[in-house]
Parts: sequence; C-alpha cells; structure tokens
Amino acid sequence: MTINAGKVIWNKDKCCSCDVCVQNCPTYSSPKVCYMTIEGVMTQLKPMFPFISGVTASGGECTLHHAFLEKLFEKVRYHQKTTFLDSNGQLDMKSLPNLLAVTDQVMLDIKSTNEEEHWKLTGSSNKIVLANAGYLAETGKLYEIRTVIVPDILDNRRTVRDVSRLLADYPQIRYKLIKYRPWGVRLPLKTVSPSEAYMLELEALARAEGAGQVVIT
Amino acid sequence: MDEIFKIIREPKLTYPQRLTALAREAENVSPPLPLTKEAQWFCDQGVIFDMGEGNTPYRPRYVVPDYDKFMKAGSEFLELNPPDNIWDAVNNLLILYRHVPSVIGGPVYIGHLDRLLEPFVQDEDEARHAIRILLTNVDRTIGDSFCHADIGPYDTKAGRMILELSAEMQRPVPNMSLIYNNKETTDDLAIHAILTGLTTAKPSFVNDAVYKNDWGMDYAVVSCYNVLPLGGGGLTLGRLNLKRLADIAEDKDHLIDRLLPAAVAAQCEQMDKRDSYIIDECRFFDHTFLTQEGLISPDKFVGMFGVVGLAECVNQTLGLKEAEDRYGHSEMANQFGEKVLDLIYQQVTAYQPKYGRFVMHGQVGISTDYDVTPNTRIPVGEEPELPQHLMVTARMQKHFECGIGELYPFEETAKKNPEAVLDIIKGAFLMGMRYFSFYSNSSDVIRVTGYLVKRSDIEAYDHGKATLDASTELGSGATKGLHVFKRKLRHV
Repeated sequence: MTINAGKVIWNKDKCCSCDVCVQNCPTYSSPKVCYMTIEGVMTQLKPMFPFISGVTASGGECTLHHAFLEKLFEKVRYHQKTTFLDSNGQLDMKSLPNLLAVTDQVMLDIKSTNEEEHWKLTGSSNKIVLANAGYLAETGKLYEIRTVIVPDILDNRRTVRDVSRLLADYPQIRYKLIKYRPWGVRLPLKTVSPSEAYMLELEALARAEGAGQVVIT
Repeated sequence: MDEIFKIIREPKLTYPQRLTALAREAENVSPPLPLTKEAQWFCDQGVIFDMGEGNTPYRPRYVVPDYDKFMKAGSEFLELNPPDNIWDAVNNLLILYRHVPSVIGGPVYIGHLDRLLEPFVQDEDEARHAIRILLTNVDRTIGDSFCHADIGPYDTKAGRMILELSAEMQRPVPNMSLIYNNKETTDDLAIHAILTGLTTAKPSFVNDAVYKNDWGMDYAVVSCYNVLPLGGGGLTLGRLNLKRLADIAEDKDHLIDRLLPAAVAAQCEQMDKRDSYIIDECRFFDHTFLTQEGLISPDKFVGMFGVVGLAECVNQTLGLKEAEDRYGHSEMANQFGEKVLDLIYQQVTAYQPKYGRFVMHGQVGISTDYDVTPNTRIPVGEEPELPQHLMVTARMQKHFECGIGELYPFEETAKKNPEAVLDIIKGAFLMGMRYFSFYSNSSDVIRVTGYLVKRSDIEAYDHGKATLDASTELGSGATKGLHVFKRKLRHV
C-alpha cells in the first residue's frame, strides 16, 4: 500500500487481508473500497456462476444501495442464481418492494431486542429492525436471524429469548448465534469471546423458547 | 547384490516392506525386455518409463476382482461359502485381499464396500463393529495408500458408517472414492462425504456420469484415481514425460511433428511387450483361481498409457515466462496443451496391442520427480483463481478414461459451509471434470499427489523412523520435489 498525492493506493496482489490498514486509518476506512458498475460486478461474477448457487450482498449496509442491487439482482437471477441480502435491517423493508421482488431471502442482524441497549450500541432505535424481522418472516423472505453474542456488554439472554419467541411460529427459519471475536472491528470492546459452554447454554435457551433451527458459529 | 544387502539392513523398512523390496529386486535380476533402438533411445532419455514395475512383469499392475460375484458365489479354491452375516462377509473379503496380485504389496482395490456389506447390515452396532475391524485390518496389514475402496452413488447405512469411521480413525489407508451422480447421490450424502473429506482428506468425488459414458459397464476407482473395468484391471502402466520431451525438442514443430509421435510409438511398444510378457511368458491368467472362478477375465484388462508434465512441456516449448501467458492462464498456452493431448489420444487409441487396448491415464508422479507436474495439472504456486483453475482442469481431462485427478485444499472454515464445496463440485462435474479431491489445511491426513499420508508420519520418517504405511516414503519425497504443502488454499 502506498500514498500518492494524498490518495491511498491499495495493491490487490500484495494484500494479505490482515486489515491493519483499517486500524491505521484515522476514519477506519478500508482502501479496498472501489466504485463499480453493474457490468463490472457482473464481469467478475460470471466466471463464478457454474460453481455457486447464488449471490449474497453484504456490506457495510447493502440496502443503502437498493437501486443498484435491484438492477444487479435482476441480472443475477437471469442466470438462474439465487439472490440474498445480508442486512442490519435499519431501512424499512416495506419501503423497498422493488428490491425484495428480486431478492430470494434476507439474513438479518438483530443486535439487541432492548431499545435502550440498541441505542447504546448503535446510536439508533431497533424498532425498524424488529418490524423488518416480523415482515420478512411473514412474507417468507427471512432466511435467518443473526445475533452476535458479546459477554459482559450485552444482555445476550434477553435478545436470544425474544428472537426465539418471534421465530417460534416459523420453524424453518434459522437462528445463528455468532461468537464475538475481537478482529475486524474498529476498536476491540472490553470483553472476551464467549465460552463454548455459554454458547451452548444460549443455544438451549433458544430452542426452549421456540427457535426451530439454531446454529452456533 | 549391494542393493539386496541394503534392503535387508535398512532400518526404516518394516518386515513386509522389506519382503516387497526384496521381491522387486528379484524381478530385476534379468535385464529389461529388449526394445527397438528408437524406443530404447526414448527410454534412455527419460521420456518413457516403465514405472519401475520390474524388468520381468509377472502379474498385472492393477487387478480389480469382481468382489460382488465373490460375495454371491464364495470361492471353491479358498474353500469359502457365500457369507450370510456381516462377520463372514468381512472375513471372506479379508481372506481374498491376500490373494489379489498387484504392483504393491496388497490389493489396489478392495471393493465397493457399501454395496458389498449393506445386505448384511442388520444390527447397526454390530455392523459398525465389523466394518471397523475391516478398515483397521486393511490399514494395518496392507499399509499402502494405493489400496482403494469405493462407495456410492446410493445412500446406504454401510456407506454412512464407513464415512463416520473414516473421520474418526484418521488413517491414510484405504484411499476412498465416492461415486457421485447428481441423479442418484443425495445432497445429504454428498455433504456428509464433504465434511468427512475436510476432516480426513477422503473420500474424493468421482464423476460417475462421465465414467459411465466411457466404459459403458461396471468400473472401479483403484490406487490413486485410476479407473478400470470391474472384473479386469490394468496390465502395465507406461509413462510419457512430456517435460523431458520438451527438454530435447529443438522447437515446436520438432516436438509436434517428429518427437511426439515417435515417443508415443516407443511407449506403446514398451507397454505392448511388457503386457505380452505377463500373458505369454508368465501365463498369468492361466495360473490363478481368480480367472478360473470368473472373478477376473483377460478381456477386461487394458494397458494404461500414462502422461505427466504437460504444463512444463507447454511453457518450455512456447517459451512462456510471464505468469499471464503460461499454461493454465492464457488461451494460447491452453490450446497448445490441448493439441498435444489430442495428438497423443489419436495415436494411442489407434494403436492395436496384442492384448486389450491402451487407454490414457493422468499419471500422478513419482517420489523422485522434480519440477515435473503430475498429469495435466497447473504447477503448484501458479494456480489461477478457482473458477479458471476448475475450467482448465476439466478441459484438459477429456481424454483420460483410465483416470486423472486434481486436488483442492480448502481453508478450514469450509467445514462451516460444505454446501459451497458441493456447489463447486457440481459445477466442475458439469464441465466434465473427472475427479475432485480435497482436504482441509488443518487435517493430519493429507493427499500428496493422489495418495494419502499422515503429516506426522512424514515427520517421523524424515527423522529416520519406520512407519506402518509404505507410502510415507513416497510422500516424503513428493512433498519436497513438488511443493505440495504450498498449494493454493481455497476459501468458500
């Protein structure tokens, strides 16, 4: 990586994906970000098509680029591949009917079911996130809900309980409990990765509260 | 004599390994079978090679008995009745294995195990116990990773037990293939096999649709990934080293017009003479109960025409230096590679040997190979992005009806997404790839070039200790000469 006339130049061939660059950036930005056209993305995707079942858009927050994704997903579907969103659910999905029309299913992050805790963690309300969970589940567009388990900082049991109750009516929807890991984050939180025993305890809780399929990762 | 004294004193050989080595010396007391002057020249140049099978071949390299028939009929010669429970079934198989000739100390094929044992699975705990005994016995007594078991394409209780036990046992023997066909193999079984493979580097996946089309009959996967008719086998394996050929070629035209046809003819001559020696001089088929009891028949044997070093041949002959121009990367290089293979295929197919016919095989390399890439593979360290790698591999495997394979190490996290690995296999098979091997970077059992070894065994061997598995010696050489620990890791 070099800096040329105030601009960061990232060398793809030499990158080892250590993400130290992100930590060193005053605004925690990645130098790998680049502007692409629909055609540009499709050119990269097409050689993969024989070997994949579909495409998942992630982020950042992918739904912020809904207009772009609508067009992209339409093209992906033309090749008979599935289209998935990996979203934090901060945008109202009801307001994105065109995107949902070309999206097979959504993987939705629920960080906390408690409004106050959500504010503290993200600086925003969880009302839209929870409304999205209900709406996507009802319309058959919810593939899975994901919750990152952060010991000491969050009331993990409460979120797991609430989400599992929500999923009790939809036994086919997966609930994925993700261990917090202190990498790929801006500043490590004052916590540790949860123990296997704690994860298993939360898994049992999720099942007891009605979640049909629970996965720990 | 020196060599014999060396063998009887070598500390790194176990007793069975020592016997096998002594027998190999005995085969070489007599000089090699005489060749024409031209064929001998290619032999001396290291272009064609008889795989060190021995100067006086007295048995086929690979024998593939019809174990299914044996299970139904028992054996008069071995005084065995057809089994009626899983214990007798396992015992009968273990007895027959001792009588299957091959170039290694034991059988290179031990049967479609799930198909053979499924009829005897009644009590599941008992069946699992019996299958564990079979697998343990084979691992500890045959001790050679060229010993190969087949399973699939159908989902069976016995097949599932074999997968579970393989993951648990973490042993290199037997090598294993899942016959995969997207019409007959369920995704659920395939995923189970992938998770097993990411744990213990086996089974590999066999493209059943392609091989059924080639053989139009029952076939078996044996040794590394050799494909041969069931109830038959492979007489000898000759190997054409295309890199060596490129070393002596003056230019592209000299290679294509003069050297290649002459070298292919030389290898056919050597294979023909050696095959005939087994049948005419040693009268192999007349002197074994396997023929008399119909477990093998001479008309189901073929000669295996092996090929290595296509990548180096293309790069050297065309003088390709830049990464994007080289074999596996540029269309020009790939087309030239394809042309070389087409020419070999035409000549080999047209050749009429005294016995059987000759079929192409993508040879997997030998332990002393240095900078000669097995079969038509892209050299380790030069692998392109995965889609391109898969497409080129599939394309270059077209003519290799006697088997060819490439392997893909995955990052350990693939265990969390085995569906993605299955998608890759399905896509590669639709493109015509014949065989897909894979392992995870975290497993102790790894695939070297086509056979399996334990990393820990290689370390022990390199420190001067004997190991149970004879393939460790080969693995120790190949890991150094072919940089197999440096293969490009794939993420899904």
